[in-house]
Amino acid sequence: MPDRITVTVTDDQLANIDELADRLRVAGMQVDQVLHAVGVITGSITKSQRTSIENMAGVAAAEEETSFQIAPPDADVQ
Amino acid sequence: MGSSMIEAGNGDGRDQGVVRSDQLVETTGRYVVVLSDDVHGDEAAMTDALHSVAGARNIASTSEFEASALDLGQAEAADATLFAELGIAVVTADPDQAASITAAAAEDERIVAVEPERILYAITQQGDPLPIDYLRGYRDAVVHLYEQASSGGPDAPEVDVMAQFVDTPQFTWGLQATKVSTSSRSGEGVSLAVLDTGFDLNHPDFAGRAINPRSFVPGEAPQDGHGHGTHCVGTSCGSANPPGSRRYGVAHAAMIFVGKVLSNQGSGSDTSILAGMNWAIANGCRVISMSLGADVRTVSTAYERVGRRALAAGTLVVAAAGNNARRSLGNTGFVGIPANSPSIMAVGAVDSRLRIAEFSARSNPVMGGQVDIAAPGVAVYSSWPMPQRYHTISGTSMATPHVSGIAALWSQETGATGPALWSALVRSAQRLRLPSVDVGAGLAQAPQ
Repeated sequence: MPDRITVTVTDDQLANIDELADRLRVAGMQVDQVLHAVGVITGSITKSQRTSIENMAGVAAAEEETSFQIAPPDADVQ
Repeated sequence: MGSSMIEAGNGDGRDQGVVRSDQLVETTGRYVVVLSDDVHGDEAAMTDALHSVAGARNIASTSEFEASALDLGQAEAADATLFAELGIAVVTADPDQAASITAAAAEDERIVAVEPERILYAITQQGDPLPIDYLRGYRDAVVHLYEQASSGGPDAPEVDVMAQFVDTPQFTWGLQATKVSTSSRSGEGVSLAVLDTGFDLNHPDFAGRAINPRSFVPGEAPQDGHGHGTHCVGTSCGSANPPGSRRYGVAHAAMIFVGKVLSNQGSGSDTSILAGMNWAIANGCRVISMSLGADVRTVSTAYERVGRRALAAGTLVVAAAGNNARRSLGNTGFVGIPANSPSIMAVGAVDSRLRIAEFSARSNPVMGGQVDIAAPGVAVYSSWPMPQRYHTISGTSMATPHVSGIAALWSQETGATGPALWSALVRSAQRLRLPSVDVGAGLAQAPQ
């Protein structure tokens, strides 16, 4: 079952983000978004394949996606 | 008889228990002479003034006594006693002399005032009567202190006057506390992105405003199905004259970018939020307002790196510190993702008395996990999806758009973006008597 992950591109590879995305696909990542202005690639990958991308050149971090939830509309504190 | 008798103390009718309202001020028979600043410090000038006005020849000055401690025995023999360090003298004079002294003093610039020397009493134990003169003097002093403290003028004493703001027909309390209500800036020329649950694009208060809506939530339109996003857009960018309502918005002429990154149920993930940030930065937004967070202490590399890149691109990211505190229970909470990123400005919430809000998260020890600034976040009135139209709620979510709107005002005022804009906000914040772990630099203030 693949996990959703957020890959942060290193500063020096920002210009090559599309090429990095290709390498991630080859390594087994399902790439959803290549965000050029912020240097982040989002998608999903299995746990076993995740270790192979963590040390890839151009990858500053491969983090499990964070979830966010705000209070319901009728809450006093939001 | 003409005088009324006021019973005080134990009321048993003894003379000492009764105060007559027609009693004169209790005085010693001497006169206190206040010397002007021009002669204060100049022993010769002061003694000359006293001689000239009061005929005093034999003057006992504190400057002659060791440690300036007046020896009252020696002083009693003198015509006048001079408290040299204070620029005050006490002169002996009978009532006739007093009249001429007062007249002479009126003509002499070296004398500021001549007053009868009063007798003052310590506050007595319960049950003992207080002389009416004491009470009158006490009352006058309190009235004077109140007037001085509330005037806030240059002579105002350093009294901590507790703040108390209230919503008025013209402005929310928050716009007053942040001095948005008196700012001449509107955010014109500044693009501000609110990444949230979207916005009620049919809200009548926003007719004619430039709004760029975009959804990053699969299967959902930018139209706000929750309310939170509409409230935050209202606070950050609401118009200057909402019809039939008090004003509730800061940057009333900013260009509004509405990025729906939270679903109508209020949930979101990196996928949608980072996509929204990417869009805002790529479209030249100077401010991104994010009233959202996850209760995770560790800093996310993604959000920190994005925050840093945003600053470099001239975009200031402002995020809510978090609502995970329950301070009355001793829980001060902690700042989570993404506000805990060093490059993202974290906003705490204060109430209308400028006290830290019950729920406002405190700085967390990880680097970057600090609250940077504070803003109004309790009982904040703003827009809400129709037909309700308005709503009053609390949260660091409400404090955040105050700061992002004020950032837009400062950007318009100074042209600053990114780190320079962060600096402008922090420098101009009103320092509060609250711990910086709770409010950072203090209460955000709009340019005047």
